[in-house]
Amino acid sequence: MNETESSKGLILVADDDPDIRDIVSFRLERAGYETAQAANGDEALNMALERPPALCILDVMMPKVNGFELVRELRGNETTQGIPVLMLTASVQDKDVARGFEIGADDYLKKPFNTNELLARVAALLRRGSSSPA
Amino acid sequence: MTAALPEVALGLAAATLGLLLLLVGRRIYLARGERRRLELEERVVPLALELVSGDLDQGRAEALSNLEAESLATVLQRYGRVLTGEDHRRIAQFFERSGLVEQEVSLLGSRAAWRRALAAYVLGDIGSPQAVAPLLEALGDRSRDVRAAATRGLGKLGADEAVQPILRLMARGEVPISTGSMALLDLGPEALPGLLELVAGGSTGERLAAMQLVIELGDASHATILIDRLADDSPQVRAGAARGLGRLGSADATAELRRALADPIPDVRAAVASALGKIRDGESVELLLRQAGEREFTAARSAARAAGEIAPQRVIEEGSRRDAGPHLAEAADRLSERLAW
Repeated sequence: MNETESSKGLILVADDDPDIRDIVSFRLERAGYETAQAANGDEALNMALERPPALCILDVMMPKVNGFELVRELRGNETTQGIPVLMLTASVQDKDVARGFEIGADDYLKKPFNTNELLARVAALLRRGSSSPA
Repeated sequence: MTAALPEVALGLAAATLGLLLLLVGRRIYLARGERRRLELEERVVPLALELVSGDLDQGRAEALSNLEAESLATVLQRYGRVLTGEDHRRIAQFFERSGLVEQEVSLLGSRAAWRRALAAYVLGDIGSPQAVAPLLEALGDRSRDVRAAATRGLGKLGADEAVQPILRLMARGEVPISTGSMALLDLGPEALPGLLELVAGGSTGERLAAMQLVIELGDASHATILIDRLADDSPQVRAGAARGLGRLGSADATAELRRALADPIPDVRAAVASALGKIRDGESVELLLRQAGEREFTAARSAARAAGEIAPQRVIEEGSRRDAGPHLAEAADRLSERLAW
């Protein structure tokens, strides 16, 4: 876990590809966020329950618990149900994107991706989350 | 003879032991090499991340040892596969400045096909526009692997001038359909003008392949070109056009689709019926009910199911009649089950 002194919030990055975890975490930390990394869905769920993040960035295809299952778990738990979720998907199939939204994801980004777009989406989700009524 | 046996056995045992030691030594050597490679890559990851973000001083990259520079190139090549936009452009610029693009381009002329294929693959990941012309040339390589790697690379590079050459290779079976399709999908809507030209004027295989991709990349505004293909000489193309119109949900195509229900080929009639069902064209219900009674299995079943999509109650009534054909009866049963559930 990497912490910054004036963090804009904790973001959980879950992906089985270490390159993606490194790239996303690096850019988020440069932008002032604190990050935590998980290599699979199971690990991500435990981390989210232990210390609920302000936002989750989840890969769809992960070992043990995949991204869709993880979103369902997060939405079904009182502690984590309100956490915004951005899905990172390698799939070009619209049905997978639609499925992500159906089960409760808030946004998605297709791989390969642009980190500037990722940062913009993260900021928008957090803004939306903080302005919505409790 | 028997007196020599112990010496032979001893010799064999010694040779086996020697071989075992050699294999263990080789394993240790390879494992060390792999560990060293991973350590080097781990060391250059912060540099690679800074470079991708545009924060790296070029001097620091130039001060790397040869082995570190190789590791940095490997890491950046991997990053190139998952990044687009400005991040990817920085990776390409790094490879251009360090001469690695030129090096890989020259390897496209290697004698070994695997080396040429690897170079084409790497050039695709690097993403330098300098690689477009050499990769277009590599589409004509005698090796299928090289052509496939060049196809993939051109898709990653967003080279819209590659659309027609790639589609021609796909239609002739000279690159795998899956590789070609992925490359053209990577190009996205930029590929559409080239694809539309081929839908209208390519060979049968080209028309078919191009049409599939137009359906993937296009929208309802591309229905006109598919409507024209309902009168194509090839039944495969006519069926593909009907499926595409159904998928696009093109309400403008219903009149032409209703006419195409009279196509002489059963598979085309089946595809047309299915499209009308997806579009929910109320005016075609009577025609579909009539087609559901025809002798050709696929066309009749497809018509009965399509009619059920549009007018379920009507199909349940018609299918419950004593003189109802098997397809209407089956469609009615399916609908009743669905409604009960």
